[in-house]
Amino acid sequence: MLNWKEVEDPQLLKFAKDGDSDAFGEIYERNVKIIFGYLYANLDSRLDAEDLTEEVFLRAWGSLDGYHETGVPFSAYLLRIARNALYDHYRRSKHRSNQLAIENVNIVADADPTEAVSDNLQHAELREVLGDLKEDYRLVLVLRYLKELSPSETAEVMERSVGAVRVLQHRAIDAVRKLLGAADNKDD
Amino acid sequence: MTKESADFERYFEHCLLLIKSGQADIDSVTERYPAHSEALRAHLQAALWLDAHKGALDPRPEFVRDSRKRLVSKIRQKRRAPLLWWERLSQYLNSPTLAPVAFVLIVMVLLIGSGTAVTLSENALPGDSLYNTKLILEEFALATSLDEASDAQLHLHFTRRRLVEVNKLLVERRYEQMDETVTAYEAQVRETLKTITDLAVTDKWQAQHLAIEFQQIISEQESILNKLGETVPISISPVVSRAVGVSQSGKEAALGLSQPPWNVPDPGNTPLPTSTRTAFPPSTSTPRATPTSAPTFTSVPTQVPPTEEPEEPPVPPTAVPPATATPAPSNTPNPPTATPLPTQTPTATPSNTPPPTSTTAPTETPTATPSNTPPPTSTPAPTETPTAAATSAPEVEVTSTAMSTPMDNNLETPAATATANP
Repeated sequence: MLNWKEVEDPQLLKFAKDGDSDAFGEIYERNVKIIFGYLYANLDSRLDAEDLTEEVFLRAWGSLDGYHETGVPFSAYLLRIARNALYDHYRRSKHRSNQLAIENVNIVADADPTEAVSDNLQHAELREVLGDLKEDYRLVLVLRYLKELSPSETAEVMERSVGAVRVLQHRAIDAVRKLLGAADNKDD
Repeated sequence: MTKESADFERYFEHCLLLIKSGQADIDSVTERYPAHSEALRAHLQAALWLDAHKGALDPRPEFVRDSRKRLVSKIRQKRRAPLLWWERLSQYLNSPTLAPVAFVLIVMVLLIGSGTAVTLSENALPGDSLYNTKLILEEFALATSLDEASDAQLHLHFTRRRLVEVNKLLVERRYEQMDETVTAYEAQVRETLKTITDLAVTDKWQAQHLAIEFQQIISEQESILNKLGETVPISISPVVSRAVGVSQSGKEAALGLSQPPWNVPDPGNTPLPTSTRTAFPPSTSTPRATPTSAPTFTSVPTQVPPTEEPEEPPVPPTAVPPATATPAPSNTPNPPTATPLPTQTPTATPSNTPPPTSTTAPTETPTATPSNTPPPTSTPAPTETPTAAATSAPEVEVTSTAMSTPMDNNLETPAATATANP
């Protein structure tokens, strides 16, 4: 039996394009952290982020024939789909923005309550800061510092040059620094 | 990015790395770059704050596991099986816009008649709606064939069809039908070899001819199969390898059937292919020649030391069969690589000479008798075909132009006349 872990990305994609669902499962495993991280950094609800993550991969499967390898990594393609899915989600959410706030509470059945609370607090803090940033700042911070991609990997995913990514991350960190400073001053 | 900011970025990355790896703290690393100390400190604090929060964006492991399962399951459900022909037809008929078109099409098909269907089905591949028609027609052809030779000829034709189907499926990347097609190919090869072996009991000449043709057909398609095999996904490789294995085993078996002297199959011990996948009859004659070297059945008299093949009775030089149609390789521009086989002394006696149904007219075929033939002193020694030196080349000289045609062609080429040199 084929060990999917040993198969490289381009080959996996070929299999997936040929209709191999297991190959696509492996693609999912390799990219889910980035996609979920990006979505959750833009959303308050973990459950929403999880739903959207699945939706992104389903959309990707549906449009797999449209993906042509031209040097752009598949994760960049997925991020583009994630961005569209996020906008669709925002549009949908507008219509139900008056729903109860309880929906934004992240209750996960299997999770340890203490850990869940801690995660929720951390996420809330993160959202508070990231929410005030421009979208590309948010993305570069998620990729570089929260998902620990290298500058070249981040450049590939963002479809920019490494130099451009460095400039962007510098400005994004600077923006975070200012926001954190402002928050400290407010606390004081 | 200016040099100054590039330098700053480099210091920043370096300091961050040191702090994250626990080798230093903010105070100690910022002291190393006093000119940028304050700016570095602020940036490092922001980066470390983000680092401390990175766990908040990780997906739950259970979610990843369950979600992957769900995703794969949904994808499998979404994948549509190819529609059968009546499903496609019913789709057309149910569509208000396409129904008239479908009706006209049906009428046209009925008008054109079954002949068209037969023609169309010939190109059908496994999984196609007309493929079953193709198989039924094959069965019908076999059932109505008159004799064993026709049966064998048909089986040969069907073998080629199966192999072509394997190749076409690979080209069209229809891998889901590959396994069953290779199995069908395997069964067909086995059946063909069995039919040829059966035929050999009554008509050795025809059986040998068919065995050679069988090898050529497989060789032709095998090279394509090998090429295509290089491009298939890993998951399909074993099936392709199986098809290659079947081809090779089949060729080897056919080679055994094609070489003289004919090992007349004894129904009791003929090594027919068994139900195992690669168990085809082993080649009974050695050495094995590649099937592309056509003239394996040369009637060139040889003077072979009998020790080379002890199981074969040595043939006295007087028992030279008539050089019916096979050109002597002495003039062959491209000498055959694997023949003539010194060990393969033809056992054909004049009484065993096959009826000249498809060969040169026997009246024009003088029988060369080596016992009466003077030594070939005046004949230049063949230089191009060293193998010919081992045979009695000067005694039979072919004057035809069809020197390099394959064996089966020679058999049917009346132009290949032979003259005996005095």
